[in-house]
Amino acid sequence: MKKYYNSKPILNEAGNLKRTGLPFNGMVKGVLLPGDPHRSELMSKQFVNPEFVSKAGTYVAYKGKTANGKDVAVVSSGMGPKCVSTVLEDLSFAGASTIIRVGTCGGVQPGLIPGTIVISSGCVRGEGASYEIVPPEFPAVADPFVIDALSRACEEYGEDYMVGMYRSHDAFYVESKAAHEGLRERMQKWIDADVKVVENESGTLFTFGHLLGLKTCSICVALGSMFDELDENGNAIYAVYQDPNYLKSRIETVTKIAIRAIEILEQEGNI
Amino acid sequence: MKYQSIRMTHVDGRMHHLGVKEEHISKNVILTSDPNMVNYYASLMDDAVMQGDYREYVTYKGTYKGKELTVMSCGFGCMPMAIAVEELKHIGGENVILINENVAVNEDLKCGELIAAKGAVRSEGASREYIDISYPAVANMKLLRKLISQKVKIGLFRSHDMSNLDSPYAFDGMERINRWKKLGVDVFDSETSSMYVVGSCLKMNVASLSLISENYITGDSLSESELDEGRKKMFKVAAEALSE
Repeated sequence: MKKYYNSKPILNEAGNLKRTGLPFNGMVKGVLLPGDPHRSELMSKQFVNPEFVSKAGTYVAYKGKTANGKDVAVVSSGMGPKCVSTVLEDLSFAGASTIIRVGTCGGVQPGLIPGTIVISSGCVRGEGASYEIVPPEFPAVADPFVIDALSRACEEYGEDYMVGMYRSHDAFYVESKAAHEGLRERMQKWIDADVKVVENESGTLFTFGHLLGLKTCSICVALGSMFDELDENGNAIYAVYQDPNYLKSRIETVTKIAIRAIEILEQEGNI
Repeated sequence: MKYQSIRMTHVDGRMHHLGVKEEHISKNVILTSDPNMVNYYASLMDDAVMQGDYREYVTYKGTYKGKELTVMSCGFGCMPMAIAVEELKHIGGENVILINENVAVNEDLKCGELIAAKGAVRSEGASREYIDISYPAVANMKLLRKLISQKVKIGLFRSHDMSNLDSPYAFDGMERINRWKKLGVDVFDSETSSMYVVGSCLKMNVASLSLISENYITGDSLSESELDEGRKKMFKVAAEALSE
């Protein structure tokens, strides 16, 4: 894909990209992008021959092979648009071409079942970062080939999934199960417009990814609906956290699906 | 909006994102963005013990001049910063100073100097979700005064999440820099404005202090050894301000 945003790479003395530690021109094409820095290593355990690449800031990178011998890598971003903008720019300098965000999200729709797999079609730009690079009317859309590959991978593994609209934003405590008062009033227009889930990275991922000539998409596990009941003490705990092993197994499942999607894209020349 | 978020935790009571609870922090907190730097800053206080390492939040508690002090990372950008302020409020954080290395766009600022933000341009998204864009991102005066008394400079920051865009490395970076420079902005960062607005809304005492590590106008930057010296000086100023 064509690149519409150009800049000079910032390298350290070792010749690696300074901000993220990623190797300049030394990365594979297909990259999984979790938000949590601790998740890179866990996800890399599903690669064949996983190999540590680099660590700087919140950016932890591993690479390896898929079951069919295709290249794949994982790089954590950290939460929010600042980390995504930094890592995307460096990933484009490192030689990546397809980025799949693998993470968690909160359900916007009341009653959304905890653990549901949601693949992004596009994203409401409720964050601030993308307004610095494209005007408000510019769409944040996921790459259709990646959506297709992720969907087929879900079907191969017999996993239910939905493809739908995401909303990205920057203030967790304004739109989440733990939000300041008036949540339903703030969210009603997004509920009515069929937005499925809320998270913090896809708005920047899709718009800046487009300018950088990267194919991007997100596949996330819903933690539960933001309108689920509070616990008996009035505290908020998303349903999937009641059993930590359940969330772990769901993350493993979407990781497996994303790795298979990278393989499908490689095999069909769409990476 | 009435600012009273709900306590969000794991089943063991640790906060959802910070991964710590009340007993793991003190009311005085120093924040820095990079989780890999917390260990370094913790080594500058006494009896520092790691309390948490969850997502991008690494937390140490110790003492400075006999008074309890916490050093914690807050991640990069407005999103993890807004969460840090919210969750610190839930577990007893009161006075919070952010220390980071940042770039200057004012030619009069020398690399190695310390500058505190009296206010910040709100070019990020998090603070806009809390309140109208007309509400200014300003420092808590009590904390700012304690920084001023230690002879640090005072200036205006601009916080945003597309950091490399306003840099000489981007194709139109200098044009973008000059737009803000002409308005009297001194420093670019990614966290100060969300910290100030969310802090004000939640009635927390917050201030942001930066070490000038690079000047985009003069082209100067600090060497590793100068950075080390600057970081130690920055930490001391913040710790002194919180230990009075």
